[in-house]
Amino acid sequence: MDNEIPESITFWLQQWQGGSEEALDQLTRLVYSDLRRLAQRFLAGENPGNTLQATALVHELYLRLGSVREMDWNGRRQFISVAARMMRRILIDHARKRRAAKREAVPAIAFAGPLRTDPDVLDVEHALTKLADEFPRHARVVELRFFGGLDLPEIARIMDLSLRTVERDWQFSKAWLQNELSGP
Amino acid sequence: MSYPDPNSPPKATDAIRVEELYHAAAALSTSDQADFLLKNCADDEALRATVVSLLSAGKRASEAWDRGALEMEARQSALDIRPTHPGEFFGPYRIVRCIAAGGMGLVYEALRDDPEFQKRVAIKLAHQGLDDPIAIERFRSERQILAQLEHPNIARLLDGGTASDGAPYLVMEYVDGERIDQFVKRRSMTRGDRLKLFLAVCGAVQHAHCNLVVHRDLKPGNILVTSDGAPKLLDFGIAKLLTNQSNTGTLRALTPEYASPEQLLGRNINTASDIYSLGVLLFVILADRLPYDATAEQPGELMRAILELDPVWEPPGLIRGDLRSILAKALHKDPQRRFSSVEQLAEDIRRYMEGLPVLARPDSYVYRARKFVARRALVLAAVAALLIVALIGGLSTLAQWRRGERRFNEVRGLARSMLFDVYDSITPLPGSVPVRRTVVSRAQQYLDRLGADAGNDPDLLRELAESYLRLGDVLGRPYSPNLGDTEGALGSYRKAQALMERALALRPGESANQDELLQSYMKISRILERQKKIAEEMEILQRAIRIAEALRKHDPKELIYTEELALVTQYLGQVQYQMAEKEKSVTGFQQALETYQKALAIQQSVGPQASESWRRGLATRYQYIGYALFALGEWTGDASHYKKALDAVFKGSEISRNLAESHTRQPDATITRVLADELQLIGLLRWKCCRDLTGSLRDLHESLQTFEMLSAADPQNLEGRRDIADVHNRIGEVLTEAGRSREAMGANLRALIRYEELARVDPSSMENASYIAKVRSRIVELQGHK
Repeated sequence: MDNEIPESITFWLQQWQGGSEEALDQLTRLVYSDLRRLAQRFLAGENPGNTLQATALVHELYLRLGSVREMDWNGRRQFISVAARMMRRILIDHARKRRAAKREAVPAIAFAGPLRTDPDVLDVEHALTKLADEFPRHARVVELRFFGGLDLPEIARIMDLSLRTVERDWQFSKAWLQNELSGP
Repeated sequence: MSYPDPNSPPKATDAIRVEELYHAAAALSTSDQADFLLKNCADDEALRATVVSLLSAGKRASEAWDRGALEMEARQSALDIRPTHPGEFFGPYRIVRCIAAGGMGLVYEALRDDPEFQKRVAIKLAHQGLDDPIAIERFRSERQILAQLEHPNIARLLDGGTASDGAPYLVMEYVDGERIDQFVKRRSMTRGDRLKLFLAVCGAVQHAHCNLVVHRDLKPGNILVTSDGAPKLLDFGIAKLLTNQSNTGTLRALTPEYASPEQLLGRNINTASDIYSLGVLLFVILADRLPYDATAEQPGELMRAILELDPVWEPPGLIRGDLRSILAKALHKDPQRRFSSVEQLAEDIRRYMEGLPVLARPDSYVYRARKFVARRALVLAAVAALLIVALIGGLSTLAQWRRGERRFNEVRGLARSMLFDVYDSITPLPGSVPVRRTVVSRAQQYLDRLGADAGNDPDLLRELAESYLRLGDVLGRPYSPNLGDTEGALGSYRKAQALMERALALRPGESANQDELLQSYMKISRILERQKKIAEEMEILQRAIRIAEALRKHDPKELIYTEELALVTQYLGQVQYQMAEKEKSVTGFQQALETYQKALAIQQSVGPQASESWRRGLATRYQYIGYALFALGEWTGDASHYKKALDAVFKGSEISRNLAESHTRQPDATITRVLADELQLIGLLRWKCCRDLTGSLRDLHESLQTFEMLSAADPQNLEGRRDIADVHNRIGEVLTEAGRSREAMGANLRALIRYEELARVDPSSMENASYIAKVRSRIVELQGHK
């Protein structure tokens, strides 16, 4: 595990804390590249099948940024939300590229078995934007859970909602998205 | 499509209504849902259809949602990286379909088309290719080892190779079966049948362990039950093979729910890790749930549960009594506290099924094993024999593998397992000394080889040092059960010392490493003490005291460091005492006494503590003050020293008695021994200070009886025999001084015979020689009287 965190991330975090507008932009850029590196490594199979890491990349990044822990609660929660959003972008980009590459590959792959039941990330993304139109709060829960890998109690804390609400939102969203995906 | 008319999505109020109805209906049973919706959406058919459709989708929603997008994407790209499709060939095998895509790679069903027969196989294809010739060679040799695993409950590895792009693939027996957890649940099997099934699984794992193959990823998904009810274990050792691990690298958990604490921590994985996973599996089979409250979706919680928390014994009352003890032992956080082999786990389950008392008693197994050794000798002997055969058998294979690849971690685990598990499990057996010697010398060979290859990893160095310390203990640690090889013990301790000095040079200032070095100094000093190499011992002890002082200063709240400092100070006193003896110097004894008093003061500086080791230490401090005062009495002829000595020993013995009383249910051999030792000194002092011959002989005889009892329980233990010799020596001394020549002669001769016997076993011990000289001179004196 490489631990080198660009000095500037720490710097911009402090700036962000200090209320700098520019900081968030800079931070986004830097954190994005760091997160992308983590995700790429996972997606390339260097950390094969480790569920712990699959759901904890955002956390890993979070933990690696020592100074995040010194941030106040508001800053921390913004940071995690931003990281989850970035994770979403990274994965969508990855899925797009993958799909493009697939179109160039010659034959379609006809797999039997349990694989078919797994939704495709791009389809989920498409459905999620629809969900956001009607249920914006639910869509945020989905973003944090599905893309950010956070668990429901954490989401409740970040969004300042009761756990019960988050659980209901997540349950309903899954049904809604699944329904959307299995549509004609 | 979620709504009847996609062009006019429901307004926000409709959305709220949809959600409300959804939750209200979802809480109902399926049959009630229809009625509920008819009643509540009577006027709005579209609304009703939407909710019905959502309810049905909610049921279909796969767990992929909770695993998250990252994993979903990883799986998808795994499929894309390798667009293998039906019809493609791997060697003679034709792909039929993809069965699964997992972390390690893809699994295909394939057919071997032979004119004579058609064989169905499963092919596992790794994500990554092997890029260097060494890795390819390693893959091949590992594969051959796995291919040799032949057991009715293990899916055979049939073949393997590398695909055109260099990715390794394995061809395995195709198993058509159901996951074991689902199988027992669907059939509502009885507990007895579940246990029987589990025992069959254990048999397979044990077979693999005998061949030095560790599964590393035991979980229900890897154990299928075929239609005839036989379990088949898949993927033995495959985890390691397909993930291209370097020899010394460790493999992180593939399936966290079933991973052992050491696996989660990325530490050395060995058979004990499989035993842990078997424990989780057994729990799941019996309780239909994991022994934790957390799931993989809450990585932090799950980590904490596995690393820190006790199993959650739910549903209440389902797993209790002996079964719980068995599970607790298999699921112990400390690998060394688990069953030392799968066979032992299986044996305990069989005992449970037959209504016999089980061996698993959390944290007190050793005592029980000792207590019931006679009755269990046969069972244990059988277990031990199995273990030995397995290990020695495994070793010859190991020698063959050595050239190709050194299996560093297996050897490492093996050396430890021999020194700790195997040795402990056979020690209580009468007549096991020759086997113990074999086990120990094997372990020694492995450690030496590992030591040569250890490189500069401080953690590995410390682990090896620990093993060497243990090896030294087993060979000849003074005042504890051992094989009587003092020189060998010293050599091992010295190796531990050298390793720790290396580790500290690499990572200076780490308390744990300093403490380990301190341990090796302390152990070396005990041997030098035995060998009367006073100058060397003094030098080692001064280094030890410096470390102990630094540790205590660094962490004054850590009681162990205070205890250790008190102990090494006492050791220093012992050397001073010996020097005083050698130089016949009263001031020397005075100095030793002061050092002993300093040791006591160090310990008392932290106030009274409840811990047993602390109280034991305190009793010992008093005992040594007693020894020094006794010597002062001897050398100055001032009887007031004897009185003070008696006071000190009484204080110590009172502490020991309290300790012994807290162990009434399970008498503790160490405390019993200390009490006997104190009684011996009290007996001697009664004579010296008050000429109370009756009281003196009474105490000495009681002490002798206790020592004899302890020795009978543990006849291989040389220290027990030394204790007996010592009491005879004391009785001889008192009787000689009291002028009871005839009885004195008998006691002295008994002491002489025993010391000479000890000297034959361990010629390097100077202590024996000096006692022999003392007793001889007394005998000569008595003969002169005649």
